Amino acid sequence: MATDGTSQAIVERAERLRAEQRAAQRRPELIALVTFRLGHEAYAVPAEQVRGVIARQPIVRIPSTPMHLLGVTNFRGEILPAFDLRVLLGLAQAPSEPEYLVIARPGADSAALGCDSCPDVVQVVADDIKPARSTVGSTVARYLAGHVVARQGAIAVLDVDKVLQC
Amino acid sequence: MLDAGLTEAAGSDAARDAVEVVLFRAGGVTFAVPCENVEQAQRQRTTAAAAFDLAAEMGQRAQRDLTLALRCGALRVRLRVDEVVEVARLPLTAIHALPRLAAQRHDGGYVTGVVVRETELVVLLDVQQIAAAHARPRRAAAPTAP
Repeated sequence: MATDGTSQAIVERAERLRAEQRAAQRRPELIALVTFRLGHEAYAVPAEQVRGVIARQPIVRIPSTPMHLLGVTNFRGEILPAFDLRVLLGLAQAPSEPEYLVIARPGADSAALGCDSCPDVVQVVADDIKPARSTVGSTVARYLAGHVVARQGAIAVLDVDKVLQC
Repeated sequence: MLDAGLTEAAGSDAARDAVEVVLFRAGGVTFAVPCENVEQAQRQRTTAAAAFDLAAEMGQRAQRDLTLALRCGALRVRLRVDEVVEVARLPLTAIHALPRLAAQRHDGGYVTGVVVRETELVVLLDVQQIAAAHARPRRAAAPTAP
């Protein structure tokens, strides 16, 4: 049988656990985003959908494909399609060789997304990601999950599934 | 030189772990077609317009008026190419299917795969698909007098 001292310790422990639980419930959910630039604008994709980032990598064009499909590239022995986000989002008319490739895998298929700057990772509060602004062009808006204002400024968060359905 | 390479390649056709191909360049990309489908490479200005232009399919202009004559069964088709590189033996293990997201966006279905060859990627073409879309039937033999 437990002594009074032991019972007291158990009660205190239970209270402490309850308090921790309540604090955890109040703590905002953080989401890691991989951010990069396309032209002058900052964009991001959820870090949980990113397999890696590689610098300038040879891309082989595939004939009879749309302009926003840059071609295919070799990522650690795996052949992946590479997309030109600037063309897809209507930010550029013609494809160009990207400086960096973000390797994204939202589902079963992986793909490389071309970007202009070395990607970075930022953490934002999930609730701070708001619906895409109405001022965003319709072409861009089609591929956005929302936007968030971080320390670095406004970031447009891409919906990778929609991007890869293009 | 190409003919000699083809003969040599045909001799080693028995090996089932590899495919003999002619490598050529068009629009800055290295392509491959099976040797068995290649008749000859020739400079022929008059037919350039009638040839299937891979560079144009990539939004580029062909650099030279060189064509590669291909055959597939009764069909013949010409590809406009910039340069015939070499005859090579590609191990089947080096051939990758075109990624699904790229294949879905490829119009024509004539790119069958991508080959990792040393440091470069080679695009493997299906001559039958190209011929089906762009070929002219092989001319029938002239009737002979009884």
